[in-house]
Amino acid sequence: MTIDELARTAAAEARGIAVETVDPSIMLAQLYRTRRNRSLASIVTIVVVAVAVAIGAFVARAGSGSNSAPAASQPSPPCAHVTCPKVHHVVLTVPVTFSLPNSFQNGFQQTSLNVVEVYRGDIDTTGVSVAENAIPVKDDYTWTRDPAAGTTAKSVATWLAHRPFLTNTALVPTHVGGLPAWRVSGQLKPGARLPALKDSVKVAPTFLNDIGHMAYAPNLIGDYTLVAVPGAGITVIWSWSLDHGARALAGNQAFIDRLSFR
Amino acid sequence: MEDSAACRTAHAQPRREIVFDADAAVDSFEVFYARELPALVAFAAVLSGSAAAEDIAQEAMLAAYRRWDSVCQLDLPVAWVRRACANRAISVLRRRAVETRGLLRLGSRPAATDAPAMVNADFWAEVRRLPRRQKQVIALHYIYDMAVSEIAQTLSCAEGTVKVHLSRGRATLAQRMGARAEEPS
Repeated sequence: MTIDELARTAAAEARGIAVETVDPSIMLAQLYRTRRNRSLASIVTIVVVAVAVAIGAFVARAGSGSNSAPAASQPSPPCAHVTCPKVHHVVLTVPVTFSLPNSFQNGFQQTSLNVVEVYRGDIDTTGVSVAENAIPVKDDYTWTRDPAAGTTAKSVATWLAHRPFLTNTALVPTHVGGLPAWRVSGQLKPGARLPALKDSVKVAPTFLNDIGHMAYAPNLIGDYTLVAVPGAGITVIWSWSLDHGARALAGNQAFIDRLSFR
Repeated sequence: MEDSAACRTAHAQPRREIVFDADAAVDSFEVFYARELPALVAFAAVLSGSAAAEDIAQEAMLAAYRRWDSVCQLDLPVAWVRRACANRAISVLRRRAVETRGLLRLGSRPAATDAPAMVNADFWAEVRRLPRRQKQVIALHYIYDMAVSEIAQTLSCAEGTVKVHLSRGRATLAQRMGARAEEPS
């Protein structure tokens, strides 16, 4: 067989699969919906930035002293001398708003209506995933709900901190976007059983959501912040890093601190 | 004037009467979308090797929809959307390699058990290992059965450049796949 014949056979197969699996009418409806949502998100972003600028201007004015005589001021564009971080508003089940610290790559990846991910710019393969409506899963291969975890953020955090495959765990109460939250850190025990598969890699499973899996592996470390977001169930803020030490995770906290739900 | 009217229709409201005539002066976006989407998904799938092929094709279509008033006035609106799709597919491939290494992505989709597996997946995996322009040229040539001149127009480059990429791409693939590299007559 010549390479041209092989290529034509392969192309015919690829086209055939696409025709079988793609439904243009459904996807067109999705396209319109996406366009609407993004337009809405852009408007909200503009409004948030405008409000932030207005508040900044107001605070700056108030701080310049009300007793002193008004000095002739040079009108300057907002943010001329400071870095104004861009505020992102992502439409998840409950929308999330955040700005990205300088150490993060610009932009984000929204992988479903429940998940948004951001990536570090200063370290490879490190980032944070925000997963709404996450499900705590059993310590086996099934990726099914573990009822022992309970249904509150605190009970799920406690459950996570007591996973048999973790050691040196810490459970710290905190806040995310004004909501009470619990941060769980820990390390995979040496020789821990890894009963589940995530992308063909053996892992110790922790959470599942509509399209993804969270877990520990020998080279995959993570901290979890659990928060009960009204309307979005148990929301897991998964700070993760592959092939780097725990110090890589420390820089992720700056992102979590800027996160809010609304 | 009629062209502009047709373009406007696409943004105003979905047309009730859809004319499935590829040779019509200007398509509404809906007609264009329905006709081009399946092949565009196939194109994205072979270039990115990704379960996100539909998303890639959809993003390219969304980009076209946003500026449909001007895209539909181009000589070949389809060339615009194919080029956008090619660039997005390559970006996804590159980003996945450097950013997430496959394991991390929470959003990495579980293997779709109901999606038909591609028998010739090895061939496209080798295509993806080619340099950027070579893989785009090979994919356009075979998925769309495009001539050299059409590929050149799509990628905004010279026909000679396309010929070189096509020939080199075929030679490399033949070597890797253990096939004969003879050029088609």
